Amino acid sequence: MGFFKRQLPMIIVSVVGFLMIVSYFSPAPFLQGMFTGANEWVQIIANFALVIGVFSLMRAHYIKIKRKEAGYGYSIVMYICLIFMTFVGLALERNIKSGGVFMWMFKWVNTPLTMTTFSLLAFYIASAAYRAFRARTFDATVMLVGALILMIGRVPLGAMLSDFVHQQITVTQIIPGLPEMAGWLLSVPAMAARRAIFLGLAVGIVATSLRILFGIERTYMGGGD
Amino acid sequence: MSGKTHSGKCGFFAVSLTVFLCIAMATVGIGQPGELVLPAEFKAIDTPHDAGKSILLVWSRSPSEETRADKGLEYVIYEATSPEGPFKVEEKAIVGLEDTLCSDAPALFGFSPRHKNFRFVEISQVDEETEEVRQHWYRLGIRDETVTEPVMLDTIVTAKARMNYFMSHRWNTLLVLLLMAGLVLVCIEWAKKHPDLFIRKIPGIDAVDEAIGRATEMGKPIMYLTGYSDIDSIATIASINILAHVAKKVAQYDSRLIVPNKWAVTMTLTQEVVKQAYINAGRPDAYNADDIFFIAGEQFSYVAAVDGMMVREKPATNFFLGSFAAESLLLAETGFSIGALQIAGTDSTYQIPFFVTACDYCLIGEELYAASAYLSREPRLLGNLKGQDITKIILTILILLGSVLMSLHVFYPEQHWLQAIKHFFAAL
Amino acid sequence: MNIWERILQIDRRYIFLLIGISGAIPIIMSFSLPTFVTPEVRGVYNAIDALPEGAMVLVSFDYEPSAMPEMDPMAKAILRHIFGRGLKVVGVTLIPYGTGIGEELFVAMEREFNLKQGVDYDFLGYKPGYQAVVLGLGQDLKGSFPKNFYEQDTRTVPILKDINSLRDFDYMMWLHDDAYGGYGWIIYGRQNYGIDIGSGCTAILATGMYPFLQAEQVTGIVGGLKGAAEYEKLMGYTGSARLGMVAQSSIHVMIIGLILLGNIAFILSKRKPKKEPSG
Repeated sequence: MGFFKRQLPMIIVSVVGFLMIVSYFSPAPFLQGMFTGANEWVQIIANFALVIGVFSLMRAHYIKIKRKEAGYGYSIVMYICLIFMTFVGLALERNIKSGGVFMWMFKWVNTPLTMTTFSLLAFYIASAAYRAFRARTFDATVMLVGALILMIGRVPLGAMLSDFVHQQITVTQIIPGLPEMAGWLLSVPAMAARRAIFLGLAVGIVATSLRILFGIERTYMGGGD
Repeated sequence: MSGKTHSGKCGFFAVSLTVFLCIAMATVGIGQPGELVLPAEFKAIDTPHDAGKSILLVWSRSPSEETRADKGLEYVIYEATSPEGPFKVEEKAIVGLEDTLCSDAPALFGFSPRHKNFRFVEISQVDEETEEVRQHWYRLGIRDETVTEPVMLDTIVTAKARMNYFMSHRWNTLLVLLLMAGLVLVCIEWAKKHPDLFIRKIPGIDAVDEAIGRATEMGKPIMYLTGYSDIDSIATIASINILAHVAKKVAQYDSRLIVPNKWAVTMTLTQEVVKQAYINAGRPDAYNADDIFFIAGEQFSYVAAVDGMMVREKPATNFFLGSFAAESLLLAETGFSIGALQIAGTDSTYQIPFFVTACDYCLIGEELYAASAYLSREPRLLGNLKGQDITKIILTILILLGSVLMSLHVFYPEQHWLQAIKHFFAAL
Repeated sequence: MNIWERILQIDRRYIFLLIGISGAIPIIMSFSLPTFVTPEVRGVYNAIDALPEGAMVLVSFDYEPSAMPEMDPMAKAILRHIFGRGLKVVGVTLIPYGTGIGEELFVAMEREFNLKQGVDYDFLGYKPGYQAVVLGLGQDLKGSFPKNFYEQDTRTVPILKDINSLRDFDYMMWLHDDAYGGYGWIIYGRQNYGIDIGSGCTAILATGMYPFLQAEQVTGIVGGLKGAAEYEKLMGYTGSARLGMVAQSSIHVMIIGLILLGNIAFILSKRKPKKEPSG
């Protein structure tokens, strides 16, 4: 049993992983076919896993309804939506087209709901910024000033303000406008930091991949300490 | 006197040069818009690093390109199945002046500056009906709107499409990969003999015990999210590695662990990992599969469900480890509002500021990948980290060196060794 | 607890309320602000503008419905530019949600420009696999997508007659709200098949696209609502992006005001009270 749970998956990971690397360096059809095939296998497995996932979701909500836990009404709504959309997508409309029920639900139910959740971000950013941007230390003050320049410099108001000041006080024209300052912050210091993180990430990804391929890292298979 | 002689020599030289240029221009046709001048060179070569399905036809640019660009000048390729012909126009092989020069395709031809004087076209050798590779013969013609029939070059060329087993233009990537793999393996061997390796402290990981202890004391659950990406992301695998350590601690402390998943595959994997961690901790009875479940593949459905769960269950500790997108702040701010201790870690650079703002600890970038080694203290994993560090040092030195050499390249653009170094690092 | 300490610990719902009001008022009152075009947006505009009539443009609709308020005005402005110039478009998507989004946009453009599916545009639809899809399109477009979104054989669709690979496109517009497949379009599409790419993305993603712009791997970036507003200006009309930018400006000013208020409160709350003279 240990062989099927540990050794065999490990062999599959190593062999497929190394072949995928080799396929990057070789145009040989069998390697390219294997690369495409492996990607298709991932999709097939993901779709089968989705069935397990949906059952897991249904089970979790069934338990909620059965135990009448707080907010179990939402679980009933989930069941209704799941059944309705599955029926429309699989039985009612085989070919999903603009103007149909499925697209109507997509456009007028799913889209506004997700847009609303996403738009909450604007409110959360404001409250997080209010809390975080405090001039507690020198470093925090630098970050605060940078954030203020960026926020005002990235909207038309920043350009208007800069133009106004430049016109009224001629000597200030030697100082770049707020949009230029914001652009510089983005393309120089922010970019430098981002590239440093990217570099670390790239090396980290290769190192992590190598320890998975060499079988050094097995924790994700339920092994480890 | 000497000045006059010099001036006289110059005058003679100028006249000679003018006469020579006139003859040369007359020969090649420059300044005579009435005639189309054929390319001097035309050849066929196998397409480098392809699977043996196409060839490249390469020819020198006609001097008429300079004089007749506004007259719709174009090259026509004629194909035949034997050297004797008949040659028929293949529609795909009409090459206009906006098409590629050899210098625009360094992956195929390299970086030589003379390539800007040549054009090329890639021609498939696969028969559309039988899908078999067949050898063909080609002739080149040139035409514009002033002529009815193209002017033909006599040369007939052919090449065999060969299978290339190695993409030679990627040798630089291979070299760096082999170097890094070698370094990692050497460091692992070294770490086996020297297990007490120094690893700098990662506060976010040091806080894991405190975070689990806090939840146990408060009698509240711990929530663990593996992020936005599926199992094909290294960040998700790194997160699942950390989950194994967290789950073991949770089992030892007899607390409750909730793992809502965005992907079905990660759900099955996290179930397996947590189950195994509970077994390793000697508490298989405490494992509850219903606490590790799938929610939705859609980003904001997932966020809405997890936020709702946070508000209802009020976990004492939240772990956000993996790749995250726009949902990061929505999750972290909700966690903050319920007073949870929050440990985040992500490789998504856009989301790091949000996590730093709203969480107590944040693992930045590669710290997420290093966390598993840091927690386990396994010499082989620590050796891998050391290999990673050495690679970074080498890359930093190369970046510095590259900056200096590229700055020199501005002053000495003709130095071939500087060009060679530049091209080695070019992504092709 | 003095007033400054109370301000520091203000209930976040008051902040939400202020943000809501500052966003709503400019939209209700229909204010307007001038728009300034940045070089990165001009980079996309000029690349499309330089294409000859009838040139083929690939558009990948890789964004989810949640990003539609930010992305749709941009997508519409860019598609108007493309179709207005008489260019031809082939749409594709790497994510399932992109099918609904792409289809809606094509239907809108069809009405606006009197287009014909299969002649002026075609939509290949969705195929899973991110990088694998890009590689597949690069190697064999019709083999990768034997049927388009409308269930037609791609070998018989007139617009695809001469399109066999990514190499056959003159330009590509990548409309995206994430990196999808680790920037597969750039890494494989641009590097392997040499296709020129313009990026239209959400504002948060735009900062991450700058390295690609500097490395000339994208011709330009249209970032978020701001980029869309700039594109609308280049196109010479005021759409939802330019209207939305007023609300965005107003919210930015409100956040700046709140941050300044928080800092004033922070400094004043730390100030020690004057000692009362003893005795």
